[in-house]
Formats: sequence, C-alpha cells, structure tokens
Amino acid sequence: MNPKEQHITDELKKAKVPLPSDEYFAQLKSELLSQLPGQAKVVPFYKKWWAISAAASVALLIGLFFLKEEPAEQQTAAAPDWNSVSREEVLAYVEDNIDDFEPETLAQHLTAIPEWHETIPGNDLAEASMPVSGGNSTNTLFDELEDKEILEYLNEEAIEIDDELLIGS
Amino acid sequence: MSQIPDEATIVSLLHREDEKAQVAFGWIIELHSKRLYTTIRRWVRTHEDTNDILQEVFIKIWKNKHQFKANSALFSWMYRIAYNEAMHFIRREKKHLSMNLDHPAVEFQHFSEHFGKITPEEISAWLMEAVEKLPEKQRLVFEQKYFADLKYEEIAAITGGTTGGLKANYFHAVQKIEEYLKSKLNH
Repeated sequence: MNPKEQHITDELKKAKVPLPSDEYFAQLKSELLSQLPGQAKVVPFYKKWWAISAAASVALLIGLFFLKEEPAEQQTAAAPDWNSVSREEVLAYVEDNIDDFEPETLAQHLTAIPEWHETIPGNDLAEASMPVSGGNSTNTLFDELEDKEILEYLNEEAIEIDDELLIGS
Repeated sequence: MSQIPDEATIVSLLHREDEKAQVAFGWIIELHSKRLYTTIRRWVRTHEDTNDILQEVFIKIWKNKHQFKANSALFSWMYRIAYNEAMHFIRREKKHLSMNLDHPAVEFQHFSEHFGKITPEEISAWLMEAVEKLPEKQRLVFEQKYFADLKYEEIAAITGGTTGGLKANYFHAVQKIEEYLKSKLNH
C-alpha cells in the first residue's frame, strides 16, 4: 500500500464501546413503555361506582352526625315563672344550691319579685340580697340591715370580702 | 415470541392512536436501542450520561412519531434525534467531546513519528471533533462504517440509500477528517 494513500484513521485502533447486558435493554424497554403519556390507566366502571358510593356514604354519615348533634346550651335563659313556684320552694332550692348562683344573678332575680323585697326574718338569702351594678334605687333590702349584721353573715358564710365593697358600704 | 415485522409495518402501526402504536414502539426499542446506545456512548463516553440521553431520545421519538413521514429510513431519523440530544447535553454540561481519560475513542495501532507525543486521549478528541463537523449523512455513514464496522449493505438497510452512494459519503468523510487531524498535528 502506498504510504501516501494510507489514512491517519487507518493508523488508529478503534476502542470498543462497552455495551451493557441484555437485562439493561430489557429493563429500558419496560421503563419506557410504562412512561408513555398515552398509557392512562383505565378505571373500570364498577370501581368508579364504588368510589362514588363510598363518597356518598361518608357524606351522608357526616350530615347525619351534624343533624343529630344539638348545639350546646341551646336552652335560653328564660326567666323563671315565679308564679308557678312558691316562694318557699324557690328559697329552699336556692339555699340548697347557693354555690351555683352568682350573687349578681341572685340579686337581679330577687329584686324583680315584689314579694322578695320583704325582709324575711331568719332568711339569710333575702337579707344578703346585693344591689345590681350601677345601683338600683328601688333596692331596699339592705336598708333594714345593719352593717354589723351583714359582716356577721359574711363571716359565718366564710365568703372572701372584697375590700372595695367594704369601702362603698 | 412474536416476529417483528418490517419497518414499513412498524411505522404504520406507530402512527396509530391505540395500543398497537405502543407495541410498535416496543419493537423500535428492541431493534435500535443497542445501536443508538453505542452511538451516543461514543460521544458522551459514560454509561450514566448515555442512559439519560437514550431515554430522552426514545421519549422524543414517541412524542414526535407523527412527524416521521417515512421519506427516509427510521434509523436515520432516530440518529438525528440522538445526535441533537447528545450535542445539547454536551453543550449544557460543558463537557468536551470524547475527552475521557479512561475511555478514549481510539488508540494507536503502533508507534508512529507522525503522531509524535500526542496521547490517545488527544487524538480521540480531535477525531470526534472532526466527526462532529461532518454533514449529517457523512457523519452517520462514517460512524456506522468506521466505528461499528458495518458493511455498506447493512448501513443501507438502516439508513436507506444505495451502497455506491454510501461509499461516496464515507470517502468524503474520511478526507475531511484527515485534513482536520493533519491541521491539528501540524499545529
């Protein structure tokens, strides 16, 4: 061969390109086929039906749950019908559950009933009726009580005394 | 195992919109994945990069399947996509073409004063640079003839064209590569 006609490329030895195993190409094919955009999963109709049914059932249960549940403290604070209850019964009830009542609430309800304005001897609750905040000019319960008697009562009941109340009395 | 049909049948099935298109796509992967792998690997030189590019190439082939009008061989079209993806990758990664110290594209058959102190890695890089400058058809033929050692008849089967035309493409490619390497050697 004429050296001049010999090409440079003929003097080079081509390096063999390392080829992966057949498993690589098999996996490549399966991976590519699984990625095809057009390969959307066909959901059978019965599966959709069940999904819809399940969603409807859950929605129904939630709705029933909220319908069954009553709002807390739905009862309104209706004013007691004092006419149907005797004074003695009310007094007895209040005395038995004195701790559940706020003094302001007691004073408010007691002064609303004309009969309660009477001072009942031996009835501490009636005697200790406190005026509502802001002052009620019609409240005469404390008029017939002396400060000493009020303090004695408070001490007996072991009520914590607010100094500001004492200043105002 | 079902027999893979001819390329014309595969292409017609590929253009369909049903599951037969996916079957045709699977046949294309079987027929050409190894050849595309070696082609891409010769440019980017690592398996990891080759794998990434190869997957991108096949995804693009699927997405653009309707753009293939069968006026050329299927492999020629896929080769163009593979080449563009590899070059895009190299430019994006700013990697030198075939400059891989562990796996040069070529080595020297024997010692030659022609090459002086040039290393196999350098001559490999120059060779791939020269190949990159070739027109697409010459590049494809040169790669399949020089690197893959295919016969002209085999190259014609995958790229289309006549064996005479392929020979002409190959000799023109070799001439241009020679000129490029000589210019580098005489630098």
